[in-house]
Amino acid sequence: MMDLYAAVIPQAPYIIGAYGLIWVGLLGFVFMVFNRIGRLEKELRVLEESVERRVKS
Amino acid sequence: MKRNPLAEIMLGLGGLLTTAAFFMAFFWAPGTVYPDGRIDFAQKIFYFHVPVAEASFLVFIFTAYYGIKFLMTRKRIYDTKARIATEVTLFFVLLTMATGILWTRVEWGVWWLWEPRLTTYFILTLLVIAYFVLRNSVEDEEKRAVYASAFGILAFIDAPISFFITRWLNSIHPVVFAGGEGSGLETSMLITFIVAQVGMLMLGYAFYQLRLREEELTERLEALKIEIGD
Amino acid sequence: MAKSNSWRQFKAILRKDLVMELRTKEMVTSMGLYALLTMVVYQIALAEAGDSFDVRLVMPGLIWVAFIFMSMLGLNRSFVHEKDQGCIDALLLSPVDRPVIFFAKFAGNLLFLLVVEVLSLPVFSFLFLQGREGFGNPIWMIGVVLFGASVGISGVGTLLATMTVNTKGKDVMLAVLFVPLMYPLLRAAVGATFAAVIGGPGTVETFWLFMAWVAGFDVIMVLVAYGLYEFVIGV
Repeated sequence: MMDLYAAVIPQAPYIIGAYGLIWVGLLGFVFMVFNRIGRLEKELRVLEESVERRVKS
Repeated sequence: MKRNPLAEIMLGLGGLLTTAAFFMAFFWAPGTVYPDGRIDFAQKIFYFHVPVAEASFLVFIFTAYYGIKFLMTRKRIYDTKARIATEVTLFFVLLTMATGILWTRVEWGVWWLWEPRLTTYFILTLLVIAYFVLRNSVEDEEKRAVYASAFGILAFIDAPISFFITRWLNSIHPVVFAGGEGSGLETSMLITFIVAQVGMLMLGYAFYQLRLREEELTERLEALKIEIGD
Repeated sequence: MAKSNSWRQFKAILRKDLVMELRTKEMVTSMGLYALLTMVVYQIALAEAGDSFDVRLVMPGLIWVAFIFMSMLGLNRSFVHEKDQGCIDALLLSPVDRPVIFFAKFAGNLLFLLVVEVLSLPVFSFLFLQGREGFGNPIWMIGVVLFGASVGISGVGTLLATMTVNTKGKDVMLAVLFVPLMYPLLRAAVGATFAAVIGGPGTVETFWLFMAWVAGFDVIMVLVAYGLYEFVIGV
């Protein structure tokens, strides 16, 4: 068991760092894209409504 | 503009698979040891580093593929697709670099080594960045698309070089699936790896589709704004 | 019939570049001067290294660094001229086949590059290699590397310079695109030059191995550049 700790503890920060970076990267990408898509869709809806209103009037 | 249900399914499935692979890697796949019997904990990085790297190579194929398609047809959509594929490539390349550097620090004791695989992959990173630098420095839209397509095709030639170089030269970068005696993995390790790889490819596809959707929305918004402005 | 026609067009474009160069001597002097300046910089770089170390160990790297930057200078120049004087536009209007333009510009750039390389190598050995051990292998081997690598440099360079001359920050853009693309070729060229310079058992085999690499790169890259040129020059 001591062996295990002796090997794992000094290496752990790098492994945690590697997986941390991947998770942050993947989630960050998804979050950012969804955020932007959501904003675009909202903007688009507003504009489309205003176009419709103008067509009617 | 309809949503692309496949992209969202792939995103969910890819997220599920990579999460599963994460737990499998730490709780199911056996740990490896160095020849002298010490435990090699850093090997766990392999389960995500390699899938991300393979994904970067595979997505980069689409840069060249859509580049060729654009040059043949001159349809703007292919240039957009090539650009987005390169964006996703850049994302995966950066993740590969980051995880690779951390692994190198543990296993080789240094952050960086000018070793054939690392060097050619570094060149690939520079080429992908250069692709965007080129795009930013051309103002004319058609020129930008043609130049970027041409450069994407040229740059893609480095990808197979980088991929195969560990098999051609004496490289200290590990080659896991070289074939022959002692290569390959134990079954449980292999399954974990495959789950992570498939998940990562699904995520790559989803990222590409999501970015494409965002691009289409932006374009429609621009068109609408012009329409209203008139 | 068509073939001889292309050949005539090829010669005409090449002759135009040569005549202009003979008249102004602009390319060769600026590239040669650049190579000389690089050697001054090398003196600075090696100033504290002392006399005891073998310059031949770093010579292949040094000369290829000089040549790659020198070639970019020349490539950029060659297309800035074409653009400023409206020459490319005139060529495109005339019934010249696009591939002919590529090969003529390619040949011209290759020629200028080789001339400056051949002129600057003796200067390099005059400045850095006097009173030291000679080359381990016959000198023609260096000539083979010079030619092999210069083909790749000018071939891809012709395509890239055609593009970058239309971008913002032309020469910087050329470097950003050119240096990473040239990496495999330069690495092999330095390896082959090293084998030719150092000599000893096994170096001839190493030399030809690296030259095979150079040749493979040349064939693939020049073919791709040729295939893409038609698309790039029209826009």
